[in-house]
Amino acid sequence: MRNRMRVGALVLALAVVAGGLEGCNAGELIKTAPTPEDKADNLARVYAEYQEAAANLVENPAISAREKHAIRVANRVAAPAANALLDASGEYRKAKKAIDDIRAAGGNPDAIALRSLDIALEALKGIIAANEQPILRFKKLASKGA
Amino acid sequence: MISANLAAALAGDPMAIMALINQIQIHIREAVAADERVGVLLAEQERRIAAGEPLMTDEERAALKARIDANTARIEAGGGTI
Repeated sequence: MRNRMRVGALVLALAVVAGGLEGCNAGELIKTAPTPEDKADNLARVYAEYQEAAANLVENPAISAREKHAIRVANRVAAPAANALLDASGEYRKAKKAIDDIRAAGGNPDAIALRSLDIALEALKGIIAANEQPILRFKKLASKGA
Repeated sequence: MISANLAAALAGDPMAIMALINQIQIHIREAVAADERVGVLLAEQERRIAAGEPLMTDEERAALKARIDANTARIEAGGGTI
């Protein structure tokens, strides 16, 4: 009985260690992004790194079929989320650069262009808000297991 | 699956204990490796901010999208469908 309790405690301790591996660098990279478009890109970057970890898990024979299935299902949600973030940030960067180029050439962007850029920024923020959770949940799954 | 094996391990099943420890070790290894790769990205971000360089170029965006697609292909081909 005593040995069984010791083994249980050891297993629990290992599970806690595994659960504690949240990945502090990932949080830092997302948190320190200077602009919304950088945050969108960093979310996709973090996702790609944990997606690679998940791909390694899926290819590991020691990992159960059930867990591989959970990873696959989560990836089917998270991969489009990451691509949406990259597309949105890329388009916003293009729009912002067009305005910056006008200014750099000594011109003055008109009010409609500036208003459009503001609307694009709000749309980008909405896309980040909608796609952040699937990516963070995927990261959690790849770190801790199902 | 870790949580599924946990109950059997806590009940004292030696095979479940070994399987659980092995799975936890694999997860720890992959999570640590991923976090280290993100650490490299973090350092690169700090360097680029200090140098005034763009944090993401069009080429990098295209490469990242290709990498995500490649990882997805690996995950889809990895077996284990239930």
